[in-house]
Amino acid sequence: MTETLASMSRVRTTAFQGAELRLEAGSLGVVTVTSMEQGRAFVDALMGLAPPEEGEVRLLGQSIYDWPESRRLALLAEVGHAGGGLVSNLKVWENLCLPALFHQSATPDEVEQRLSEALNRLPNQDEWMQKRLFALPDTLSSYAVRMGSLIRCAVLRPRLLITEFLLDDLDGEALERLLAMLEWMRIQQPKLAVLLVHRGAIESGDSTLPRLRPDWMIHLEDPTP
Amino acid sequence: MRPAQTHVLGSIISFFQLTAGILVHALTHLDALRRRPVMEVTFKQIYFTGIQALLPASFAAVAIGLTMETQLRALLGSGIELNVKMLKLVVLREFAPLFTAFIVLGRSGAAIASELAAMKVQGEIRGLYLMGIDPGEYLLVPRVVGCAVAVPVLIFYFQAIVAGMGPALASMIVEIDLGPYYQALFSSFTVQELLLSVTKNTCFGLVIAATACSSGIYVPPSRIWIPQAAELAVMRGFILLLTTDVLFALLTL
Repeated sequence: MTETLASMSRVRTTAFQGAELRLEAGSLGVVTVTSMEQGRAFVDALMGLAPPEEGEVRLLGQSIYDWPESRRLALLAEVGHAGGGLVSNLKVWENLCLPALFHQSATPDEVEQRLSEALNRLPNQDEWMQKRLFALPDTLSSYAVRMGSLIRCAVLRPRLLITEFLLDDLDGEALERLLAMLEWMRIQQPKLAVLLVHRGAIESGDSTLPRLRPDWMIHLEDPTP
Repeated sequence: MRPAQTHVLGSIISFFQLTAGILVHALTHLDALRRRPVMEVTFKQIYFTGIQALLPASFAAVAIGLTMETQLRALLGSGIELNVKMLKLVVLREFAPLFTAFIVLGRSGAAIASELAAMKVQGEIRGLYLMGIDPGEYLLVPRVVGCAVAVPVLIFYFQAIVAGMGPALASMIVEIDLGPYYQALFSSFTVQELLLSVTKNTCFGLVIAATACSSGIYVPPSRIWIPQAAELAVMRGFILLLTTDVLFALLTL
């Protein structure tokens, strides 16, 4: 029997309405939004950071607001677009290990092992392999920051991974590598559910769509005035 | 009351509430220090606040020790008892802790406030939260604990240099019989005075950290507020340190 990790039922906020979703363990979903504000409002509602005006959000069958904050956030991980959520005054490798070490979800040796496994997935010519681990995040390109935030999640191993505009404005090799890393994470963690919040409608000509192979996809509606 | 006065009063009350809230949050979440990343940040904070301030503190302590000692001699004459009393009460008990706290406030207080303000403006605090990392535990506890540990130690170091090197250097300019002077100085300290001094100095560390954190973390999310956060931290810290000093002076009357 498949486990439902998160669900939304007729959720309405000031930024969107009618959101219905059911995210099962091991699934990959795509939510298309019309603006960054709408995407952020959706992520906030799903992670229990802002209560919706209507509807219900559940995590593992329980209302998300009934979960203790620390336990709720330990199950979820969000990869933000701006800066990828990396802390600017920590070196890149410290950023990658921080959540796993903070949650004590793995020993330092295990964290090191997971980090090296994730880095080994990248080709030698990748920016990540160019001694950037000891640099500060502001020296990284937009692609490398996004890859860094994905690797950080690969080290943390959450149950549900939500990405905010991770694939937006990227194409070619950078996009391929991010998608490959996502696929690898799903293979490593068969029960990991991934939800991509994507800006703009995904049409048949969209280059990312065939690679994503979504099990389902929802499009958020703007609220009616 | 006029709207402007109400606004100013409201801002002051709000600042005190936020600062006290940060202090209470940090002191009630000390178990976060068992987490390795929190402990690492705490050690870094002790290094930045304590070790890196050693050079300016040493220079200031030598200069103040020498100046005070020669001035006291010129003012009070060569009587050991009166000189020792003045050095202890004025310089070691009042001036040295305040001066060291101002050094820390100008260095670490401003740095903490601008660092936290920049993190807030860049959305990093939200990012931490969304990775399940409590910003209160990861950002506030290490800074409060780091300052509470480093400031008393730095003040003690400052006092030791003023008391130890001040008379020694001054003896090259004015006539001081160092043996009896040191003996009279060190035998005048009591355990109660030392405990009170440690308590006051720890409070100075807590005041600096809490003021800097509240000034940095509660800024509006705009870049223009990053330098202003540092300025606010220094000014607010300056006033709160003097207020704390007055309270301790009244306690020991």
